[in-house]
Amino acid sequence: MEHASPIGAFFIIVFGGIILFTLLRAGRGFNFSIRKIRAIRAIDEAVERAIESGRPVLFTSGMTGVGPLLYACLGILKHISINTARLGAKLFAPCIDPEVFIFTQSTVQSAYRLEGKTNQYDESAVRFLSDEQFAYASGYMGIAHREKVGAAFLFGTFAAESLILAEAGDQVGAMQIAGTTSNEQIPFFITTCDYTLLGEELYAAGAFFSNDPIQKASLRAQDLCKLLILGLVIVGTIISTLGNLGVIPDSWNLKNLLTLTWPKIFGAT
Amino acid sequence: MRKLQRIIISFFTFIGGLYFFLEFILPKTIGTFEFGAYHEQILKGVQVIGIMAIGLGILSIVRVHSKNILGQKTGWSNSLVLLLGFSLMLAFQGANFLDERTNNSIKKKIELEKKFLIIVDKERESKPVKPRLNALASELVQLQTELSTRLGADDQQKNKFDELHRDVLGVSSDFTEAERLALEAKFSVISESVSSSLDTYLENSFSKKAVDLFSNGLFVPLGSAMFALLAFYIANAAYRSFRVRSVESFLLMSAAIIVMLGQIPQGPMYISEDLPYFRLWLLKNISTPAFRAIFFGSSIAGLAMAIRIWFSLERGPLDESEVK
Repeated sequence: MEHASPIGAFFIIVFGGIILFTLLRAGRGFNFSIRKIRAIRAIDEAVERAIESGRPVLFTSGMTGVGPLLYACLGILKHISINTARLGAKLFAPCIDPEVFIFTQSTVQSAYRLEGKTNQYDESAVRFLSDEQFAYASGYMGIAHREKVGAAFLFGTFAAESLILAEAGDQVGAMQIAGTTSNEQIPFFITTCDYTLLGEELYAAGAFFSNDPIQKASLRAQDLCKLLILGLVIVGTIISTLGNLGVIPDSWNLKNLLTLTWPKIFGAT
Repeated sequence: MRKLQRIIISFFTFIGGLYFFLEFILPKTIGTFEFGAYHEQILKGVQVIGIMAIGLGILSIVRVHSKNILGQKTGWSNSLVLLLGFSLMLAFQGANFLDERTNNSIKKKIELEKKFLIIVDKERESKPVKPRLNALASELVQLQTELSTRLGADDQQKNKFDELHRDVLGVSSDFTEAERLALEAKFSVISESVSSSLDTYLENSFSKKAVDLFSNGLFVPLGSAMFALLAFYIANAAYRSFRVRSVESFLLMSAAIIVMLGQIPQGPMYISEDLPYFRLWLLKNISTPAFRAIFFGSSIAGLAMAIRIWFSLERGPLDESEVK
């Protein structure tokens, strides 16, 4: 079992407090505008292009497990499914995790219900392929090639299979939009996909599509937290530099604070 | 009804979120109080819910591919191979599981009989010894019959069992410590010999060989073949990154060239002594901070999303009411 260190717990509470405070203010009528991100705007364009060419749309959340990131990915999937249901396009959403499969299936079903197109919902649209990384990748490649998809969306956590998936879409000439929080896979997506959402931009997509003030407020809260982190980085750099120059005493060393443990505080063994 | 359903889900989400939040935030123990004392059990409960989903996943595979075969859709032969492979693997793995379970049960029985001998010795004052030893001897006969049914006739092993059977029957009510140790040693010898025979039987069984063939002979090499494709795709992706179409791609290409050339070890291809330092500078001062910034951003965004889910503030993807 992993437990937060005292300094970690402190920052989680501080950041959590800022986020919660901003979210509650949004509930009281505060509204925020959000910057437009090209990759997010391109999602609708990709769906429309696929429909114009009479080709299906492919969506994957990669190796994302059930958690906040999946929620963000499903927010995007819901928007895509609403579009495909409205415009009558075929959608494929293969899954690697049985739990994620259930959530994905419910999301697509819910989108079709919202559009009043329940009868057009194809049960094979959302399918579980395999929980093995490369078996899943080969299944995804198979769908991309067989169905000659017109648009491919890759959002979530990815590992070594990212390039295999992205290349499959590229080979069939699909317009591809990716978004991941897996740092190592970002360069692969940038070189292979038309647009790439970096890290937190993936979480921002939901706010962009929905007009939900809570989601917009959440983006503002994230910006405030990042400003705080930036301030801490600057203060830390100054203290560290002055410490190295001998201007401030050793007792100011931030290392003591950062390596503080619970037993040190409570005096337990 | 839908409102009530929403309230119940929100309530349990809040309680679950509160537990996991406190479990992570609080120290392992506060004085004598341990907040996460039942954490393992709670996690197992969560895993059980996840395992239920596997059944639905399998149903999805069977349904999608059966439809492909029945409707003779494009690539239906692939679906047929998949379902055949799936059924065969399920059958072989099931048979192998049963084989392993039977083997383990026999091994466990021998160990129990050995322990029973010690118990008889300990309880000799309170319980009669002879009837219990006779029961142990008849258990040995049953075990030997079970073994020969499973492994076939093995005279050497049968002789060992017969000898042990005779020894157990021959022991008097007031057996000594030395006699008990001698019997225990014989039990150990038989236990080892039976374990080794059962393991060999399992290794040579059809189910095990079939599982190995499908798993190590087909599945693993096919996975490796997919992984090997990456080498070609990386080369392709690298080629794309070297196409200068904008200022950003020019910077990307320049950085890539410096990093690649800086990676060359000393030798005839060595260009400059400064390149490895410049490469390291780029990685440490440009690449690492950029990745850290992305990491900070996505961590904070993940925290914000988690709080929205925890307090049911998020209009989730399963929500069917549109925001106007």
